[in-house]
Amino acid sequence: MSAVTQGMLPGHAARAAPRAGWGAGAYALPLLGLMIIAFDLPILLMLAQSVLSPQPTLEHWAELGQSPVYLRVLGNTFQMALITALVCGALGYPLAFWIRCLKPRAQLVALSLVLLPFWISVLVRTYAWIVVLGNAGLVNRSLLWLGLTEAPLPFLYNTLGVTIGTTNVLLPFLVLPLVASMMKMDERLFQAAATLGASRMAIFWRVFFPLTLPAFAAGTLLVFILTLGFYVTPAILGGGRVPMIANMLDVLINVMPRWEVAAAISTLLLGATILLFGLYRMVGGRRS
Amino acid sequence: MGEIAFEGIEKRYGPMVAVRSLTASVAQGEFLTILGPSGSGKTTILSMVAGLTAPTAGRIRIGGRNVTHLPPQERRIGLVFQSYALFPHLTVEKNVAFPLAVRGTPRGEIARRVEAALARVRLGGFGARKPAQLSGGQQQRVALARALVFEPDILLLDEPLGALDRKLREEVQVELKSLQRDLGITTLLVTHDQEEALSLSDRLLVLDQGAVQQVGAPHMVYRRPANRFVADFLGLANMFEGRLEAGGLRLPGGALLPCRADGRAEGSPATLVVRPEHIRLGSSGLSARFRQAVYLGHLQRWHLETAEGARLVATPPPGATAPAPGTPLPLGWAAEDGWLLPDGTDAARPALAGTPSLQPA
Repeated sequence: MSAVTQGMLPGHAARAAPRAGWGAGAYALPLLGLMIIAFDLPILLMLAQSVLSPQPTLEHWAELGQSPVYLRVLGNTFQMALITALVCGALGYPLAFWIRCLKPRAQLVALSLVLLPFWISVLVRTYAWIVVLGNAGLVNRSLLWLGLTEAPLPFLYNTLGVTIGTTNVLLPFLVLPLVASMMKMDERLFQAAATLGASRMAIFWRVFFPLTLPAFAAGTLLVFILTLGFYVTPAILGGGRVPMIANMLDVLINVMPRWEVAAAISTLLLGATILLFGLYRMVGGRRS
Repeated sequence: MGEIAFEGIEKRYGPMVAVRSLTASVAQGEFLTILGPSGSGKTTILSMVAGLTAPTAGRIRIGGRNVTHLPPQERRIGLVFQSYALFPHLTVEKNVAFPLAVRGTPRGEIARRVEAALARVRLGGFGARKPAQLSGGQQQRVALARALVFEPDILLLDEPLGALDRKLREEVQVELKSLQRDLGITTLLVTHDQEEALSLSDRLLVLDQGAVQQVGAPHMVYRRPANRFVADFLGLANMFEGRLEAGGLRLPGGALLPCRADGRAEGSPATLVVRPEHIRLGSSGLSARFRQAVYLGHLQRWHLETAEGARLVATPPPGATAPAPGTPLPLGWAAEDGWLLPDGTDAARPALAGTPSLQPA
């Protein structure tokens, strides 16, 4: 009788008896097959072009190593990712801490404001930055009017512009998990620290900060990983002067076209991302 | 070192009164337990001593020093939380070293004192472990070592044995008590567990609805409860209401129960308290029918019912065999084992709560 009940509730069955898990998995098989045939296989075939086109060869990979352009763009991408991760971390941690200290109602408002950018298209947001930061933009006009500067400051079409754009898009990815981890902490730990003689600063640096460190590191790493694949923001706010991997792939595929080299670069990026994701899981897993 | 003095301490949350004008003191080296049901305000009192909650009115002194408005950092108290509140990211050693490290104690001295503190709670060699790798009892001892390592003036314990299993409890009780006595540290314990309260304390403070019900040595509070609440909350109590007569208490049903009515007017209403272990079966005085036996291993309890429908509990002598349900049993007790609740307390608990009184131990 229990077997019948289990069959009707595959989710429960999987938990009750591991062997029944196959029954639950079977429902997903058609979808899984579709994913593999329609999505994974083409990607793998495309990536395989880097070593199989036109015949088995390593020349495309060798070209990657020889041409300084590719390495420069790769280096540039990782540099951008690092800068974005650091800026997000420097802004995100105080922001998350501030939100934690707010009253519940204010917390809701603050979290909604953090989430707001998610509801606006990345494209719209990026063009909005041009309106704000351009030579005739809001910021430069204000600075000129106040007499703080003689000529418009170059906010756009450089590393600064791209950093502003990527940080704006990715900050919530750091702040939301960080706030969650901060809210989850046991208040009694800080009370205990206080009765043991720790000042507010000591409580923060010796107890609070170390306990948020895993979530903070994981969030920063996530921002880093996500920046690696950015396309729209560097294309628009970088104006072609801050080339990142995704922009180079665009050129390699649509302009050159050199699919084999693009495949090699994509494979490299995928490998690096998987590696970093593994690191992210490791860091994040230590949280509990 | 520290004696603790509460001077008219009060805590209100809006219209809700958590603690009403508490005046009491804990002597240097004394072990005082605040005992009360949940919601009686006992944890609020503890947290006011620790400086985690500010009183609405009144003053708290520790060692003569007015600490009412001092932050917890400056109160020199060791607090053991019910959840232990060990720092999960630090090793046992670093946890115990914490209060010394934040005081800027030199490294060598920290190492020496941490080692001594861990040895004192029999956890030498556990220093490198993380709290999550310890059992509940071990975590509790780490929390105790951490609370004592910086030689605080007073020790505060919040239901320290609440999270331990029964078997471990008595062991920890004995250890805790001997440690406290060796160090001679003034200790305030908060609990709802009467066994813990009776076994550990020099004195008990029974609290209900934020008001002190009785203060005294455990055996005094147990044997001479000040009112119905205390009699009922601490252990099992058989209570009889009747009128005083020469030689005892006359029940409305006619039975005369033995007790000493020293100085109380004959004919006045009174409540008599008799503990189950004082009831002697076979001696006449009151007749009750046997209802059911509850077997507890080391002893059993017999539940009885009088002809008027009053229910009683008695502890029969070891090895007694329970009679058939309905069997009438004559029972009685020595007159000095019957305790009359002090005048005017039985039906008047709210009035008492409004006018707090603190009887000397």
